[in-house]
Amino acid sequence: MRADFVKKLLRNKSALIGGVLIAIVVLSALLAPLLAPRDPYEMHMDNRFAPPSAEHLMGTDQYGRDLLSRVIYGAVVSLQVGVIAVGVSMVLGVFLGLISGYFGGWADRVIMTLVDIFLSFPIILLAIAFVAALGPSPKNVMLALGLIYWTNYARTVRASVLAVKEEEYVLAARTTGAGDFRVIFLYILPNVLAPVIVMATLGLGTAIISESTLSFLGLGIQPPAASWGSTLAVGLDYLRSAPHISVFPGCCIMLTVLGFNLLGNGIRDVTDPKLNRR
Amino acid sequence: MAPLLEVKNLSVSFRTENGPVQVVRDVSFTLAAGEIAGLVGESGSGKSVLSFAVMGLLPRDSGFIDSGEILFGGRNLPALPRREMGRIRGREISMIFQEPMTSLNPVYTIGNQLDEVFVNHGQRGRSVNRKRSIELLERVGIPRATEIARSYPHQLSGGMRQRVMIAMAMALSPKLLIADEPTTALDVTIQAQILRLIEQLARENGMAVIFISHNLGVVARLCRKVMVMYSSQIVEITGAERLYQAPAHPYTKNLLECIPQIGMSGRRLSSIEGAVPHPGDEITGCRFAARCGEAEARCRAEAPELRRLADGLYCRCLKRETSGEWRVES
Repeated sequence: MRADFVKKLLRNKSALIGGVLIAIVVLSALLAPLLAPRDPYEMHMDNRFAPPSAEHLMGTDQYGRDLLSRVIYGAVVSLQVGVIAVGVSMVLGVFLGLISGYFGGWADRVIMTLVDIFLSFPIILLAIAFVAALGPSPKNVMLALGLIYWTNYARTVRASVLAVKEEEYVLAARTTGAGDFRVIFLYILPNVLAPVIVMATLGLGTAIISESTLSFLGLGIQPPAASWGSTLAVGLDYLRSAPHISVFPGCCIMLTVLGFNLLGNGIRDVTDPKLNRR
Repeated sequence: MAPLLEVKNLSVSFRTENGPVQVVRDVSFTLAAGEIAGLVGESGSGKSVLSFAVMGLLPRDSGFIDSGEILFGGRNLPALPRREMGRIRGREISMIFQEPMTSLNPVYTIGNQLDEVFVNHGQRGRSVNRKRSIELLERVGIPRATEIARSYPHQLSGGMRQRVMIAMAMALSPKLLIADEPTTALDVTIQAQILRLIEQLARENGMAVIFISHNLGVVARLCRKVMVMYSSQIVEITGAERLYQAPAHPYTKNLLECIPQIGMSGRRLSSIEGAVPHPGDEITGCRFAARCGEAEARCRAEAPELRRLADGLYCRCLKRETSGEWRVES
């Protein structure tokens, strides 16, 4: 059955392209020390703002550091932040959404009030507050983003649960003696996952961009470490004279987000038995 | 011998914005082991709520039992701890539903869902479970069972899905099956097959069945005992033959007159004037009095009780209690 799933996924064009994009990003992150042509921290003040050339494929930044190397190392940070932040928020949000939707009553009221409180703050303000309280570090950025974005998952999942739990197959499962948690995780969860997968893929992009915002404000990744977001933010100051500093990390963010979206779409198509009739 | 199921003075309410609404009122009946009983009534008469109350599956945030007992094998089900009720569900009492198209989980194969029933009751051997599942599918008359076990619900027809549902309900050989309009969504030839299947399985396993339907013809075919519900109450309990030949309650009588019959062309099909009272309406007197052709002043003043009129015949009607036609024996 698992082999069958992989085969179907490979046959799906969207999943295939997305998978290849992500594979490239993941591989370059894993192999960063081998792939990077130069030390990403080595400055050459005589060679600042160099445009792309054979020597520096992506040019150099405001300190003369090789941009390609910084982008490759940045993949590590950006992927980590994106995946972990989304992971934290997804697990938290899906769990609370399931509880809230399934049990209703006071559990629902408490969780949804919490969601409303979170949503009433501008997201970036909350992120700043969290990071300021926890101290700026990559780990805390992930945690903070995870603790902010869970509300979307909780709401979406809760809404789906409200519909799915009234389905007769859920009732039928209960008539055969399935307990609450079995019903929640085996019968309801798989039926509410489709929107969550799509949200998670989109959320990766948002998380990577939020990380860049935090880094830009000096609360995220601390220099000289490179992340795509921080490099992009730095490049903004020189956008007229040396656009390549922002353009290359921007393209990386875009391609990564695109890759996750395509993969997400593919997974949804393959896992939805209703779309699987052929 | 003590009956398998004894429902005593059961009342069930739902919480609503306008306060609690009683949807099952003072319902009492018994069911012997292996007995097939029909429960008929219009939509909204409380049939399904009654069955969910027996299963212990009233919606937990809104439905509750006001009073009464549901004795199953001597145990009062509503008083049992939830864990214990979970063990009874599926193993001793199971249920099938009206809509086979939506009663199966779209994300799992048929085999996986059948296996689940065993897993829910602590039997974890994978290959053993699958073998039993396939046997079950064969027993409910599904051809190519091994292949079907690997398919998803949307790949099967309605009749096949209802067979799968029956297989799931039968998996642990329960003593009681509640069938909530299991044939309503199927076409006529499939209906007959499913009825025959339920009848046969009940006979083979000595299983009691509560067959809920609004189709009197289907009920008469399958059941020996029929319970008629009207506006949250049981108004008559009678034998299937007596139901047709001598319906006791005026409502039952009217209901039978509403069924079209071959050879009655040229006549207007009769219908019962008025509408079913809203379940929450508190009515002094008989709940059917407003629509009853025979109602008298006292029917609107005094609420009738379900009284035993003869052996195997109970009726909730003041006029029947006193008319010479029926001797009151309680």
